[in-house]
Amino acid sequence: MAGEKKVKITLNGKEIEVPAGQNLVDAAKDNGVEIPHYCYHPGLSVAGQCRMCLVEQEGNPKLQIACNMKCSDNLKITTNSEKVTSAVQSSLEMHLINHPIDCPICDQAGECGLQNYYMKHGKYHSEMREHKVNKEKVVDLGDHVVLDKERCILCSRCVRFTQEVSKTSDLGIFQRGDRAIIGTYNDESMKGNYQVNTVDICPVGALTSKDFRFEQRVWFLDEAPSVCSGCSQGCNVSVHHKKGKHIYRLKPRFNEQVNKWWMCDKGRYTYKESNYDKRLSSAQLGGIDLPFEEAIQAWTTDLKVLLAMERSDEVGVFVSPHHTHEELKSIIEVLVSQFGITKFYAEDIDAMVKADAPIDGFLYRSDAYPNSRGFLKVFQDKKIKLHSVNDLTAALSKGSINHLVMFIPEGDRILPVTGKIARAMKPDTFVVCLTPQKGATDQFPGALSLPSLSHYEKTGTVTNHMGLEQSMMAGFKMFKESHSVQEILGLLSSRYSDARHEKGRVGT
Amino acid sequence: MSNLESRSYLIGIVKGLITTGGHFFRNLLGFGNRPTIEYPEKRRNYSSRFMGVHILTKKKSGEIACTACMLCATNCPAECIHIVAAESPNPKVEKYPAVYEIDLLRCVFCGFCEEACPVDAIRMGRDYEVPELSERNFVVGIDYLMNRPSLQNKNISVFHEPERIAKMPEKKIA
Repeated sequence: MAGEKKVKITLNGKEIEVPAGQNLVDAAKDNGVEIPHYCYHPGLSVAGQCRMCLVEQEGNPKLQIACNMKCSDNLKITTNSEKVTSAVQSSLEMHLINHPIDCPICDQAGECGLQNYYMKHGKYHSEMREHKVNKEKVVDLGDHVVLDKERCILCSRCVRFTQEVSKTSDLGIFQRGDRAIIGTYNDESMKGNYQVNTVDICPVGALTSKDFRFEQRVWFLDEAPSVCSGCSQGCNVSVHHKKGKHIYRLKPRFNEQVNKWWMCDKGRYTYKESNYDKRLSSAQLGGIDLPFEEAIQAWTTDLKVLLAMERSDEVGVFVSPHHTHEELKSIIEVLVSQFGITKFYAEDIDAMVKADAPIDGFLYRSDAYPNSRGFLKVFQDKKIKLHSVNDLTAALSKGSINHLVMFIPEGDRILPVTGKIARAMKPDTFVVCLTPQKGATDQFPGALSLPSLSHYEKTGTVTNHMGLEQSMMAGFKMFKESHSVQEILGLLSSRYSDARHEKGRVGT
Repeated sequence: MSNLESRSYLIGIVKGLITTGGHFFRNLLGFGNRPTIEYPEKRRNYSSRFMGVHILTKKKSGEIACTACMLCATNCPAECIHIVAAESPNPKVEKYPAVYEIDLLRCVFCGFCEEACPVDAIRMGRDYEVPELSERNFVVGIDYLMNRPSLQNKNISVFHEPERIAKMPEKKIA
């Protein structure tokens, strides 16, 4: 919002400068004052349902809701007066009247708006003598979302999301008074590719994700900022993992330019491909585990023989745009600059980029790689020609490539391509697979496989469809034996020069 | 003189034998308080606050009372509790522990799990004799924690027997 007109408002007696027209809740948050709110969400329209954001405005005898207030000159607001505090407490008490308080079995516990505000603005003594109204629990809303009607505080965030953002209009509020419930018309399932966003924005545990249901309590989870690997949109996500050993879920991270507060369900489940159960956990030769050092040594030996006979044109490298810029840089430094390898093969990324378009008109795009544009740019800058997969299969069946380095990303989408390559290959070709995926190397029976890092463990930069470079800072590693591409190639390069200069020295 | 006394070690030996013999005959003939007991037949009365092997309590129907909220695992300083939560087969119950395991060798018997539990589903029991041949047998599951014979099926959670909770005087709202 740079360059916009600024206005001066007084917040709790302190004069602050904020952009004109900014929402008061956001303006207060930017200046370190928290105004409690449930129904207000910066990405949605203002509803004024929850009455939690009541503030005192000078010159107005009644309390006003901050979410419906735009910052203008000489606005004088108090958020910490006796009147405001007791009003907020009473609002929260009203929200809790029919809330079941089943926190022990609620997945939201630990990140729940009711819990957080109860500790800050709770009344602690309920004045209700009536029984709580019982409503339906565990309502199935399709493939991704479970609804608990009792826990809902009717903030209508999810309703507004389906109306304004995903435009599916699945959800609505039905009935009146204390019988009012959130639901779908005729109990139909929710539709579309953006259902789980309603779970993210739900301030209580009314909407919970089926995928994450009962999986883990949120206070055990650590967060790591990353970028989604699902498509070229590059939605900012935070990876929720437990001690770096198990990824439990992805949540969108706010980015004004890319995904705002949202992400699609397809992208949300891409973590499964990176998770521990799908991963290659140690180096293998022909499916049998061997120490990483020995695997590198075996690779170095074969490469050295070929390069010593000046047959570097018999080395082929299969790359794909799942690499970060840092990985591509090390690939080019080691394989091109040091070893003089020129034969690079990839899928038809150029066509993929040209055909790239949003599939559902919102976030999800047809190009399934997170870094296609950056990938093409790196190879164009270095003037390295990328050959097609058909060229590779032809060369393999002719026998003109005897040493193939495959960088195979996690996930199933690459398997048809690698399968095609595997079928064309002669059995005596030396294949090295750098892959995080367990099943990827089954197609290459005698291959040497080295476990590399999966997308959500990587630290690096990717370029999305609009050319925006975004960095990922995961900083965790599931397996001790897996290494980043940079580390593996660096080790290869140092082993290679070691072996050349110091004859007879093997291993470490 | 003192040199001679220290050199004649027999005096020291006799003194020692008198002490040992005194204990021996006192224990043999049963005078005074014996420091030892005949262990397997006789047992000491432990304090009522003694904390032994945990008990998982049940509902009256015999179902496990635990709701798998994992507060015990959160509170556990030894990280010895492993819970896998799942959808309960009983449609009236939402969440239950499909796996509840305590590694008794890791456990420090501090009782923090009991304090954390909101539904009286885990208690510190009174059993302290848990001999096993293999280390892995010390990782005990629901079957042992809830249904071992020494509990005599009396481990009903007070959360499900509200009549056993002492009535507190109702608090007046200020």
